[in-house]
Amino acid sequence: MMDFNTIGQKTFNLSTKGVKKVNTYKIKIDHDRINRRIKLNNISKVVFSLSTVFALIVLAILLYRIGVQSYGWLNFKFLTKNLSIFPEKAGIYGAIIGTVGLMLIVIPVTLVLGVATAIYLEEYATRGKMQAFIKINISNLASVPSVIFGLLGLTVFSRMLNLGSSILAGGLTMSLLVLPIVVVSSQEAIKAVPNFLREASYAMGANKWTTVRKVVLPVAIPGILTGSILALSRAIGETAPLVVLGIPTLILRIPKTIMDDFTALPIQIYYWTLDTVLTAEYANLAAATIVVLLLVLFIMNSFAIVIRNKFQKRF
Amino acid sequence: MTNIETNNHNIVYDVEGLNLWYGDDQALKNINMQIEKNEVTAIIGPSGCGKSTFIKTLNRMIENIPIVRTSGEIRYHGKNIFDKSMRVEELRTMVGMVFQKPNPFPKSIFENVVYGPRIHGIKDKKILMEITESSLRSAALWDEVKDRLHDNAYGLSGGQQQRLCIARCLAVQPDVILMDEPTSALDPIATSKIEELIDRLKEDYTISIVTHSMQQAARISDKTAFFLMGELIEFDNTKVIFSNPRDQRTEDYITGRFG
Amino acid sequence: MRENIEHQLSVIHDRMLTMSNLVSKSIDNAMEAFVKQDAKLATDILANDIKINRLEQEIEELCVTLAATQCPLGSDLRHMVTILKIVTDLERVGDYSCNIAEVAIEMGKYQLIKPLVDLPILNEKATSMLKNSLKAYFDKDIDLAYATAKLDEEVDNLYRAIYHELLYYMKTKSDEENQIIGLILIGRYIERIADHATNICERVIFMETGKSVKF
Repeated sequence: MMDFNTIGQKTFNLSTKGVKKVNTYKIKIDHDRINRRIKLNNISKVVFSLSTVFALIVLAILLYRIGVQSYGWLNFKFLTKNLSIFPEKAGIYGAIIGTVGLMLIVIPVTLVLGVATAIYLEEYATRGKMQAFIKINISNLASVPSVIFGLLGLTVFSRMLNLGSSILAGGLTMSLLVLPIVVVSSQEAIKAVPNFLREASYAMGANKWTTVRKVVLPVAIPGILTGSILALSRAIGETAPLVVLGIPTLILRIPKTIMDDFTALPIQIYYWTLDTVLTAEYANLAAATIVVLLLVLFIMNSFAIVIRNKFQKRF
Repeated sequence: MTNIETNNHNIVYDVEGLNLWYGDDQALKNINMQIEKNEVTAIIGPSGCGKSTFIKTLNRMIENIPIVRTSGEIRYHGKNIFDKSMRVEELRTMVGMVFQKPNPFPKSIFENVVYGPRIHGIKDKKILMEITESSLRSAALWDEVKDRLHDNAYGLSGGQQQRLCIARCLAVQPDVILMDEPTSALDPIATSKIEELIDRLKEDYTISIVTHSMQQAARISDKTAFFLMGELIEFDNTKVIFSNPRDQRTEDYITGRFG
Repeated sequence: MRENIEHQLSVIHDRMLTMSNLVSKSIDNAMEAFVKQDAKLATDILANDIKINRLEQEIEELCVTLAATQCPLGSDLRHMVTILKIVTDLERVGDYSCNIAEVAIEMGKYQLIKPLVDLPILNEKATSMLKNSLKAYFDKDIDLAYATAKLDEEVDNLYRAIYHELLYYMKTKSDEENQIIGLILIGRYIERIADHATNICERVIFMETGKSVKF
């Protein structure tokens, strides 16, 4: 009789399944060691929380000091009156108008130039050494000290273009100062738009501009706005470039056009603080102005954070 | 390699001697292949075999990667797609694409579907509404979303999002639909819905689908192409590829003998 | 993955070997029981058939599990389909062995009308066909499968000759008709076994080449 077993074995061996597990080491549970690590963890927690508290304490002291100083000085009259050499009659209406005027120039100039630059760099420019070089230099520009921008403004806008110390000259100088920040933050916002959205658009026969306009920008705008608001709040608080431009100490006239001379909130603080040697009450006026300025900045920053949180978790 | 007799006027894509390089790395090597009208052509192969690259070459999406170079010809209805006279916008209007991950725009369902028609100049609200309904119906999504057309597309489930992407693609009235692993991010039920949909769509469209799942290729395609290391190893009727492939490398791949 | 599918196939292969051995033992014993008119041996065959049927069921279940869990494709798919079909053929061969054994038990009572010459030859041919077809399956030997399938014609011719001879006896020795019908049945069963051997050869060719042939 034929035995198929012998035939079968030639062509088909029963497979041996699985590989035996070999451990060359063993994890031992050491209670002392674990307790030590728990202690270390607690210590580091305390150290880190103290660091946070330090920053909060500084802010609290600052707020307390200016709060006390400005008490009684900050009222409706203070906001609606213009400057005066008499502290009890002085107000910051002119400075508020000046700051608003600055913003009316800075906002359109930086948004248009900044977003356009960011779109060009992220969407159109071919990736290569040139693009990398431009990007690095824009980042470098963002860290140039503001006083140097002031000197640039003085040379180009005040002197060469003969704009003097007008709102326009100040606004353009401030625009230069925050433009790199707007460009970089807009670039980040555009870069954060997932590529699959662009692909979806291209795959339907859309070209670059259509895709940027209808897909990339709508998605990037919250990010762009967040970055721009933060940049603007820096522009509102900057003093040095305006000082360099030679913004006058005392303007009794409220500016009517962008070609008029002006004063702004930080400048006002700066000069009142300087003049404290003459009249002690000026310190209180400066503190009241600081409160106004800080409130404006806090509101703007909160607004930026709200926008960011609202649109963050979409993908 | 290719064992299929084709009828000339039914050829949608005629690929001849296609080579493609990423910089110095050759990703596609002398591909010759024909895709026929109203058929589902599946493209299978291990990761990195060039199957995605190939399908993205068919609508020139691959050119979004700047270092890509190609040689050879891809004739779409007889016209070389690499010709200067062939506008890439035109080609992509006729050849739609569905991607691996559902990628609806962060807009309403309605806005997603009418995106394509709008960029091609249709403005009439009534017509746009008609397009929305017929596209969503074709993508078997209408009944599920008709009451919430103006809700954000990201409120849909993954499977619904992918069908929305198919509807968005259909709204441009393409001739060919390219699908790059359309169900790899979906659960089995959503996957089977997409597969049913593909089966119905092939009556009106020519479909080419890249898939990682051999079972999926076997279920839904009429012809299957097997790619390996940038080469088209075998292209034949699906049932031949999966029951009796001619090339040993195909056999090794479908029986799981590879690496 | 490959390891799993190979493990499952090897288990099935193991059962196939057992079943093949049981079936070939059955047909060997069936003819021996008939020639030696050994009723004890014939009863063994019937007992053996229960094992064969159980194995067929088991192999079928293993194949269903394989299909459900491994989704075999290509040569694996053809292999599995071939096994499913071969077990059916083997099970039928087992049944025919039983049928022969039943007739053998019945025939034990009679004095044979003539010495057995052609039926053992027919049996020898059919049995060796079956064994060679199984060998072709286990060795994946297409040439052997072709050669074996070709022998079916010889078996058919010989069976036809035996049949006509027995018909002739039927007319001349009508009082022995029970015995003659028994002999015709045995011839018929053996001829069917050869047919199943041919089927197995066809399956082997399909398994190895993917071509469906018919002999």
